[in-house]
Amino acid sequence: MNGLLLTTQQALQLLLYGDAELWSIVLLSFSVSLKAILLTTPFGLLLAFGLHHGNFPGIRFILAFFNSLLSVPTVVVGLFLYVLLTRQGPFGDLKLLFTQSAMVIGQMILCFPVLVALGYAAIQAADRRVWETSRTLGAPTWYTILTIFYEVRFGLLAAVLTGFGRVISEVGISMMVGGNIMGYTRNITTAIALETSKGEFAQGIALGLVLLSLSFLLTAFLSYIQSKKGVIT
Amino acid sequence: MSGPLFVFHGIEKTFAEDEILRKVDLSLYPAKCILLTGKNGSGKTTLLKIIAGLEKPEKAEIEISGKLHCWKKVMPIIRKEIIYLHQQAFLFSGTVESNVAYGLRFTSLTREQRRESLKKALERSGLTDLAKQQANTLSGGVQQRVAFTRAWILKPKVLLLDEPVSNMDQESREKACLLIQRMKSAGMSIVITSHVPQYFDGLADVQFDLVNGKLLQ
Amino acid sequence: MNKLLFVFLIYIYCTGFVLAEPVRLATTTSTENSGLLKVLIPYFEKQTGNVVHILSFGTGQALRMGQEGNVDVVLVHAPKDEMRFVDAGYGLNRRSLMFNDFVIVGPANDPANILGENNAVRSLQKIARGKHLFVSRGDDSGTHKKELYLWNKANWEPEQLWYREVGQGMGRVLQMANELRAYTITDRGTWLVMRSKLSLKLLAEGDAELYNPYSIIAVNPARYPSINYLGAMSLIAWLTSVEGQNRIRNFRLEGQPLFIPTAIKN
Repeated sequence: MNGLLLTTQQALQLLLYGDAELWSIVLLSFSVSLKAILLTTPFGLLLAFGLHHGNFPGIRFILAFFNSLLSVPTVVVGLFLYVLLTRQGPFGDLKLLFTQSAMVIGQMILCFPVLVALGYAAIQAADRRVWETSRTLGAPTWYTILTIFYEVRFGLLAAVLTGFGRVISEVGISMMVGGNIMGYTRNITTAIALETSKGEFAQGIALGLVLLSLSFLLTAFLSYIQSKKGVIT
Repeated sequence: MSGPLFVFHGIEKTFAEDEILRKVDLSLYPAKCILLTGKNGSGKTTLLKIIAGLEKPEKAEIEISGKLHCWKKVMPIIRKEIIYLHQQAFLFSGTVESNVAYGLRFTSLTREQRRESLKKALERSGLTDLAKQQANTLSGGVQQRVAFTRAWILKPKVLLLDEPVSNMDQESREKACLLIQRMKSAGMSIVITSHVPQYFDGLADVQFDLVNGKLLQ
Repeated sequence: MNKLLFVFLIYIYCTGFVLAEPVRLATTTSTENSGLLKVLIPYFEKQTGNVVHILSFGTGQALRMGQEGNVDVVLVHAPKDEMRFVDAGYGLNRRSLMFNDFVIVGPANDPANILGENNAVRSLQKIARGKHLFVSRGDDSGTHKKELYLWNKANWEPEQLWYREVGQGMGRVLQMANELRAYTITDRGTWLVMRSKLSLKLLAEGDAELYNPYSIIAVNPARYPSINYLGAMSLIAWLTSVEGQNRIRNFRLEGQPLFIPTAIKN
């Protein structure tokens, strides 16, 4: 128990006194995961919209597929991507393995189903009259879609935040296709894994605290959004 | 008397193998008001939505200035000229002003003209004082008025009103009828659905009853 | 506000491109955990302008990375596998770099009574006979290969009852042995780095069988033309230069050297 207190104290010191290495890892983590979520959001939400408004057979099946992807283990995505990106693999010539881009791609794959499934749920909750009103007032399709997105913005934001939460906290993909290279592909989670393996628990706990406060903030923000949603519609 | 704006021929619509509309014909004349009656679930709303281009019919042909077209081809034109208003208006989140101005950005008006027309429309409907209010904080009657204004500002040729006065008290109902009368005299073609036809005595030029998917005069 | 967001988005989309072609070095967890590379590599980077990306795996996986062309150069410790790697044409210019040795560590009360034993095979036999817990890397690393070789020499088939194959790096294995009060075999470098955090004791050392030589090998550019061969060769050149070797010699922890350079014979 004493040891835990001591390491936590050391961890807080690392955070507060601005340990450069630690904060560069945190920054890298955010940069990679933000890229992943921002690049995926338009596609994920558009597909979610297409699934809701499209009228073709098999939509149920596609939705079930994305819902089942919600809980795919990250190492499976990592392995899948590794096999594709390895020099002898089909995309080996792109030289993407062990780069930040590979991490971004992996995390994009990871958050895509989240955005589709939760985005679909949010769009489904939209009033049918939004579409009709917008169309009858002369809006082109794209503007109508934007209007619907705006009407359900809280639900969509919740989807995006959940997706972000999933990618910032994953370790399997970053480890496999990022390679945990110091200063280049080492993010919060792979650094925790490494520091723990070296017995440097203080560093690990410090980084863990960052993730923990982030997830706390996300959750708080999400429930704030949910309460707000209740007031507005 | 001028000719019809649009003539719809042989509108057919089925829902889950249930024939809602069977070869319905309908002509829309400028400055005329059609009253559509029928039981709940008789397909009045569906008919209006098809005319507004919001729902797809199985089959329909549309005549515009003497020429016959397949509905698919002229849908974009139709949609520009015909506006459908819900029984309960839907207002976008935002202010009254942003709601009324919604459709203006898709017209060919300049920014100046749009601002001018917005100002006039708000005055005409007595909404100037409420312009900056959040739309969802307003009472049902005012929301309906905002929706009217939002449609009117676009100067459509045809206005489709789905049960426009069903949730109103005597006073608002009379106000609304007066407003519809004004739109009609301005040359708009108006279609109203209602299951209480008496409300529109003296306003409607012709009355149809929708029974078993057919229009009866 | 919107403009700020826009600039931010552009930044997000554009960053993350590396300008200089990095030298990708696959190495073993034991060298990474010792902190040696963290000290050496900045000198190399400063002198040559190269950027080194260090990836740490077990030796087996590091060689696989080289074989598949995913890295430019490997630093490993499993001589037989290295020979096979070079003979098969996957690697070039293998240079011996440094050595340290393996040691056998275990719980302080030493139930197998191997303290002071200078024959590694006999030590393992004692552990096995008493069915004392033993933690194995189980990850095809150089240390794991050495351990399997020793079990083979000891003529003993480890049984699950007391033999735990964990598939983790050296640091993790030492921690697990510590928690389980088990014996394990480790390279001296990782042991020196970790020992202050462990209650394990160094029990047996000094057998010639426990010799642990490290080599560095460039990946064959003929197989993968896009390999950064020049970068790989300049890293090999620097590490085997007088300066590189001196820096290896001078890398100490609590006054103890962790590696002894071997590239330059006096």
